[in-house]
Amino acid sequence: MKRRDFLKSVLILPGLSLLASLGKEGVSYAMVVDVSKCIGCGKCVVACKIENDVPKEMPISRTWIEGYSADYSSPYSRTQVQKVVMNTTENPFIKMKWKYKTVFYVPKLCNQCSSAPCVQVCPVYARFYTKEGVVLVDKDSCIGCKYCVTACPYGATFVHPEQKVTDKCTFCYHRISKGLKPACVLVCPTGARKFGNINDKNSEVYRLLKESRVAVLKPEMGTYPRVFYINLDTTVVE
Amino acid sequence: MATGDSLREAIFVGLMIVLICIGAFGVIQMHTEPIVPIEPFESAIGIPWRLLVATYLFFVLSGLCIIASLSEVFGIKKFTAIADEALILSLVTVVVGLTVIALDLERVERGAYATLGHVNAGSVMFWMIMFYIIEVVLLIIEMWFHFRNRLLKQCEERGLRGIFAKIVTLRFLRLKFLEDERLNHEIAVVMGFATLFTAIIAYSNLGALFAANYLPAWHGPLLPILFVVTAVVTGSSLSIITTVASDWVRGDVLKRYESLQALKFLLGFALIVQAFFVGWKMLITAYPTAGELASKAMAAYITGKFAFNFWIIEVGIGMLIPLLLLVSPAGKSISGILLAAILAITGIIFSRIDLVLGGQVVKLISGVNVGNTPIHPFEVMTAIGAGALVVLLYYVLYKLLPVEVEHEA
Repeated sequence: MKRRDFLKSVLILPGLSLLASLGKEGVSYAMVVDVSKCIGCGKCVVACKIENDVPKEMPISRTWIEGYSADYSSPYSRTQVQKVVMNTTENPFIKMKWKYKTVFYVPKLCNQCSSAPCVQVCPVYARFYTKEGVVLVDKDSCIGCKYCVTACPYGATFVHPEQKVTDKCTFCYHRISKGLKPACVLVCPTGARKFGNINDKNSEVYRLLKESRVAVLKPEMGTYPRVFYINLDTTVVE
Repeated sequence: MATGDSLREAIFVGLMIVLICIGAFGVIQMHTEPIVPIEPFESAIGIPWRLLVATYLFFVLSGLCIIASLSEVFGIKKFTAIADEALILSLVTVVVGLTVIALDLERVERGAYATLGHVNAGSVMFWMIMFYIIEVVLLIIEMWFHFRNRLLKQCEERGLRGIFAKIVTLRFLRLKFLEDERLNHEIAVVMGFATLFTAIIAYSNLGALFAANYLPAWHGPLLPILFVVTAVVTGSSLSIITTVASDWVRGDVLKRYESLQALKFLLGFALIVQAFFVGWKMLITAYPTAGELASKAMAAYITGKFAFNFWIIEVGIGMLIPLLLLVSPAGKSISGILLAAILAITGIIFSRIDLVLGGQVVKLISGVNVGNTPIHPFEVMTAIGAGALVVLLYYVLYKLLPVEVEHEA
């Protein structure tokens, strides 16, 4: 191949693929969590556990709530933070006596990373992306090596004690593929969690992402999460 | 053989079988919990890789094929007298190590299915499995050619050793061209080089499996190199221990003094290199510019939960005291070398445990992951069983194969 032909092919091919992608809307799911709206009621945790058959009393959950109490100081290293986690059906926040004045709750779940470490490390392709960008677990292929558990920077994956395979949030894929909302979004009494297609300009998540200042967890990891936070205190939240 | 010796051997084999049964009980408990309800392993959420992974690391990073290759491939005569034992123990440790990691899988029955095609070639773990399987295959071929000349002579023996030799040499196939002693040796040398090459890739790939992870205590390019270096420490220490033990059983402790002296120098050098890499890895990771997470990860070793293990056992008992022993006049005696090897191995065992558990403690996520590090009794039982299996398999192969310890340099 001549140099001119080679350069032509190098330049034209990406251009063609770009043209092909224009006009295609596609579905790309995302969740937007407004931290200021979360009251730490824990309904999402309970609903998730029931919907997805996760043992209720064990401290493992596809979604969990982190309660933070902070005493801000400057420099930041002197800031005092107290943190309590709800990952069973028992809500520790109800009787909680927080140490510091500022209290807020952060719901967490699998971030459905666009560049997911768990998909990369899985030796048997038990983790994969759907066309909508959701990261799923093939429970029939998982060998339970737990590499994904160590690889996930968000601690969002765990070994299901009864199924003996790894498990994590799937945005309730069995529900969303039928046009339903994820269980946690459905039960949230304050509407702190919003779910939808970010390519759909009429969706609420599209509007929120356009209008709000959003943050993702651990952006330095380069995982490109699909879970976005509004009003997130990134200096306190891990 | 004297009756006393037979009795001792029977007691030894019996003890090993009991320990293996204890290990098997631990494995069954881990996976099925049939007898007593136990706290399931998932109670230590956030520490998914634990004692069995550390045990696996210890066995598969035995480094014994490096020791064996020193005489087989590179022709260093001083190591010839210990090459047979190193080869046997190398095979046994890798096979048992792979068994241990298979037992650590939650769905071990899918492991074989997974290797048949449904695999992610972009995963470091996939390559870890592949490299170790290739290493085992190459090691078996190398051993076949290495022992073949002597096994052909052993075919004339009566009893189990003779039958074993006839089966292993495939004498019934009448492969005349493989009865050329020189050819067998040359093929063994080539296979030895291939095994060594694969083993070093496997060791460093295993280091990459940890180092490619985002966890700050593991992350970085030094871990693959450190794994190769610690494999040399493990290999030389285990070689010293097995050499002294087998010579002691035979009743001639001074038989391989020269080989032990050569192993002593290798161990001392490897310990210095290990200290160098451990020191720099700690310093670079703990340095403030490496980030807050990295500093906190190192704090677990320097002043935190793993400080005793790190400073006293890994650094003190595992590196400094053996080095002092080896350079002091005590290093000239066999007991001094043996003590240094035992201490170095103790340090290595703890370094494997600390690396696996300590690396995961500082995940700094309090979500579903809790930074507790309990070692479950059933895990300990399984690890002990695995150790006993190594000893028993080594003993059986040692008895069946024509091991030579006479060819001292």
